[in-house]
Parts: sequence; C-alpha cells; structure tokens
Amino acid sequence: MSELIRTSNLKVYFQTREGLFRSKTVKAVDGVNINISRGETLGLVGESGSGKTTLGRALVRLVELEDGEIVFDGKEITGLGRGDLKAFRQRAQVVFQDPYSSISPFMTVREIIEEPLRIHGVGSGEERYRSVLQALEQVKLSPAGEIAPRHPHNLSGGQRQRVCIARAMVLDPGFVIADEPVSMVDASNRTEILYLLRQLQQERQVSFLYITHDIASARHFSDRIAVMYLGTIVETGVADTVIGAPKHPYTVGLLEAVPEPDPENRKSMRSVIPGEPPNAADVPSGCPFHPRCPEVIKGTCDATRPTLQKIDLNREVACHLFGGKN
Amino acid sequence: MAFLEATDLQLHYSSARGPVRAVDSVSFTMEEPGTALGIIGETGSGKSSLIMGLTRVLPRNVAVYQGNVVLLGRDIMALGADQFRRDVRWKEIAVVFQGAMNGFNPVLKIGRQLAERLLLERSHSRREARREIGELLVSVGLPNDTYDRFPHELSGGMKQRAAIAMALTLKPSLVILDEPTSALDVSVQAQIMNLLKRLKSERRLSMIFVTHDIALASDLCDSLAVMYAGQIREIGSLEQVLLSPRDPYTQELLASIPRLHGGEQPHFVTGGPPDPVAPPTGCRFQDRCPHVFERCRVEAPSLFSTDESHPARCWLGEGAPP
Repeated sequence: MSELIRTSNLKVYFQTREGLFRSKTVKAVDGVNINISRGETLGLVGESGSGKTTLGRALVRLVELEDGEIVFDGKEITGLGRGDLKAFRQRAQVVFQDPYSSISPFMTVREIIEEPLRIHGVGSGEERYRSVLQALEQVKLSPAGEIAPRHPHNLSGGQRQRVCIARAMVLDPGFVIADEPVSMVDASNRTEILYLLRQLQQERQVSFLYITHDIASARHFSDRIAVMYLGTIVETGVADTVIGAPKHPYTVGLLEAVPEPDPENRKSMRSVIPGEPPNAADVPSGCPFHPRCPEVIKGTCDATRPTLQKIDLNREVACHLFGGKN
Repeated sequence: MAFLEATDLQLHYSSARGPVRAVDSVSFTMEEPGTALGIIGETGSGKSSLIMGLTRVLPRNVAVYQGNVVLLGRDIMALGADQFRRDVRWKEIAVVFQGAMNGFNPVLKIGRQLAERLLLERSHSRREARREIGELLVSVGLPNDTYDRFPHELSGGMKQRAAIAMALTLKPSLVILDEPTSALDVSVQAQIMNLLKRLKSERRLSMIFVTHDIALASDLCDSLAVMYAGQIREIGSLEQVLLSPRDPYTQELLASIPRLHGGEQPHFVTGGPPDPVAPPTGCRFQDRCPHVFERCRVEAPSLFSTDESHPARCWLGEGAPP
C-alpha cells in the first residue's frame, strides 16, 4: 500500500487569555508524526483533551499550524494558498461528531449533499441531483427520491449521520476524517454505521482517520491504532496487537478501564489510572504521562520527553521503558 | 418483605399527537437491600421517565401517572405530595441526575451546597453540618479541603464525586444514578465505578443504575432490566441476562457491542424503535426482530417466565404466565 498522507513534527498551539495581559499557550498537538496508506483506516484513540480532534482538523487545514509538515499524495500542503487548498479539500473530507449541529436545519437533504458539488463546480444541475441520489443510496437511505426533499428535523440521529457521510462521500474523496461519527448515535445503530463506513472504504479505496474514544470499536474498524495523550502519540501499531499486547503504560491502563459485558466484573475493583488528564495548558515536564504512570522512573521520565521508537516491525512506543530517548 | 417493589407503574405524557406511553406498565422487584439493579435502555426507551415516576419529579404534561411503588413495606405512591417530599425525597430515595455534576451553583462553595440539606432537614448546627459534610466528602475520595472549594476548582471526576456525596447527605436507603459517568473519560469512569462498588458493599447502599451501556452496568449491578419502547423486555440476574439472554432485543443489543477481546465481530439490527405515540399492535420489537413470526404482529406478548427469576417479553419464551 502506498502512503497517502504523512505528517512530520506537526504542532498546533492555541493562545488562551489569563487575566488581562497574560496569555498561556495550549499545546493541543505537540509534535505528531503519523502516516496513513491508501485504503487504510487509522484509529486515533484518546480521551477528551488529548488533542485528537485538533489533529484531525489540522490535517485538512481547518486550524492554523504552529509548525511541522503535512504531505498529501506526495505534495506538501502546509503552505497552500486559497485555490490549491480548495482543490485539496475536494479530496479530503470530514464527518463531524454531532449530526445535529453539523448540518443546517434550513436546507433540505438534497441541498446539503449537493452543496459540496456546487462549491467545487461539479456537473450540471441534473448531474448533481443524480449524484445526490446515488450518494443517498450508498449510505442506505432509501428510497432516495423520497428522502432528498426532506429537512433534517424529519430524520433520526442515525439518519442524519448518514446524510453527513453522504455529503462527505459525494465528492469521491481519497481521504475522510471521521471524528467520533457514532458517539451521538444510539447503541443499536452504531455498529451499522461503522460497517457502512467500512464498506464505502472497501468499494472506493478511501483512507480513513477514525477518531474515537471507544477503543473497542477502533479495534474492529481500524487497521492500525494510534493512542494519543496530551498532544502526543504514545503508541501506534496494528489494531489487534496494540489491544492484545499493549506496551505503553497509558495504553495498558486505558484498556483495563474499559468494561466488557461480563458478570465477573462486579466482583472485584477495576485497576485504574490514578488522577485525571491534566489541562493541555499545563503539560507536565518530561513524559506528559509521568505523574499518573505506575512505572515512572524518577529522574528520567520527569526530565526528558520520550520520542516514538520502533520496538518491532509494526509497533512504535514513546516510553523510556522501551528505550524512548530524546 | 422485598426492599423495593414496583407494580404496574405507568407514566404517560400528553402530546399534540396523542398520549406518549413513556413508562407502560413496568413492574420489578429488588429483593435485598445493598444490591444494584441496572436499567438498560436506549434513547426514548423510557428509562429516564421511569426514574421520574419513581421519584415523582414530573413534567407538566403528565396524562397518566399510576401504579404502586412499595419501598420497605410502605406504598410511596399513596403518599401526598407534601409527605412524599418530607419523608421520601433525599431521605429514602435520592437521585444523581445525568449531568448533576454541572448543576452546582457556581458562586457557592461545594460544602455549603451539600450542607444545605442537613441544615434544613436535620436542624444541625453549622459546625455539626460542616464536620459531617467534610467527612462525607472524604469518604467519596475527595481531598480534605473540598468543603471550601468552588465548583470550577474541581475536575469533572471530582464534581461527579461531590454529586454522589450530595445524594448521600441524608443517608437514603436507595440511590438512583442516571448515566452517572456519561460525561467522563474512560479512565475517570473506572474510578467512579470503583467508588460506587465500594459504597454498595461498605454502606449496604441499594442502587438503581440507569444506563445505555450494558457493559458498564455489568461493572456494578447484580440484576438487569432491559427496557425498550416503554416496557421491560427482560429482567433477571446479571448472569442470566448477560450469559443466556432470552429476549431477542437483549440478544441483539449484546451482539452489537464491539468487544475488546475474542474473535467475535459485532453485528447489528437495522431500523429504530417504534413511534411512541402509535406503537404497532403486537410486539414492539417486531419490525427489527430476526425471529418475528405471525403471532408477534397481532398479539402483544407479556413478560413470560419459564424460570420465575428471569422473565422475558417474547412469544418464543412463552411458558407459564408470570
């Protein structure tokens, strides 16, 4: 598989105001290197505040970059001007988390899905309508002709999210960022939408960045997983092996915190990561995880930040236990 | 005598299109104090309305509200509004509502907000209230100085602990928790679940744990009731419901969960729950059920049980009537 998108040392910083004259830097994404091949899904897993959504937005240049480089299909996109950026965005689309606020209540389903085609000047009116109907069929909203003239308030949460997926897919993009696409959808409909995304991917060889806090769904719907903590990637690898044999203490703790439906669960306490993720405006020195880490090495972990090191063919870990060095 | 017994509880709302049967004849029993019952349901299944019915926190458009709720031998549905407020609310049954952690008054210290109830109900002196609340806050795992903190100084997990402590101020025998971890991260969620487990065993506290997440419920609950379209589909011990679910909806719900371990792929049912104003004749799960047959479309199944401790609402499990 050839590579479609790669970042190197990507950084996104925000300024927050502290009082009248002071400001603080929030390092939402702090030196991230990831790559995604054609037709591959990378599951980006992390808790709230880890920077996973910001990283997703940065990849399609929805936020300003502080530093670093994004290469898409062999071309550097960090310095693109308006026109080139528009052409790039025709090939890179986003499905947002909330299907209630990410589509306009005043537009019909047809207008919503047609809008990207209009913006990019694709086809005549009639051709565009055909594409809209086709996109609706592909996300299993049928009969498409009946759904197209409706307004979003007539649709359920799951149906709305399908409209969002249709809008992202109608331009036939090569890269789609799905940011928590099912977290606002009912449990019994979630799996169906994830299967739908996978099917679209297999039919069209799209690359996906699947952003989620649900590590079990990332296992089933991603090829590889990247675990993010406080703006950095702490572990990446093939989905099944990261979950089957996690290396980074944060990944280990995260996996232990997730319950499976098992009647034995209630009989013992769950081992937990102590504390809560600190604010990204206040990242600890050295390894950002060291104040919560059960295996912290005094003098090392609190002093130098470990970088991602390849520990075997398909696994990278940023941890001093595995030789991560500055 | 059972600890809590709800019989034929009904809560219907009036709407422009007709009555919405949010809680449609729900019955369940919690035999022993110090146990936890999980109520599992998706959006619109009636699980939050069930809480409102049990605690009499009712919206204005209630059309029907009836049934029996017997707590420790007393029918609390028969009490007048004043007596219910005086004797039951907070004292016998306390609720931690979804998002309660964000319901604190931002300009009052946490301790003051928790002590309010003690000062009102127990005629404690300020000093006594302060000591008691201070101890309570520590017992739910909060630092010593939490009494004098403002809500914005606490993290999400700490605020949730404080919300749980608030429910415990008058030492109720039953605490109802509505999705208490839905706004928290997984690592913090696990800490809160551990706290609830500890409260259950150390204080012999009884709990009703309401959630859409059946895996999370398995972390705490001793028995489960699965709700769908205003009705209980299946009720039984945690082992019975998780390991040998009898109702097709429960079976599908369990199969749709992506697992962390093992080779099973999640599968799914299409469609959604029926219109609450006009549910279909017959079984309410008929349009999505993989085992549907003729009878399901004409006649509604009741909660059948072959094994009395594990009834299910499905014609396939028809046995002795309950």
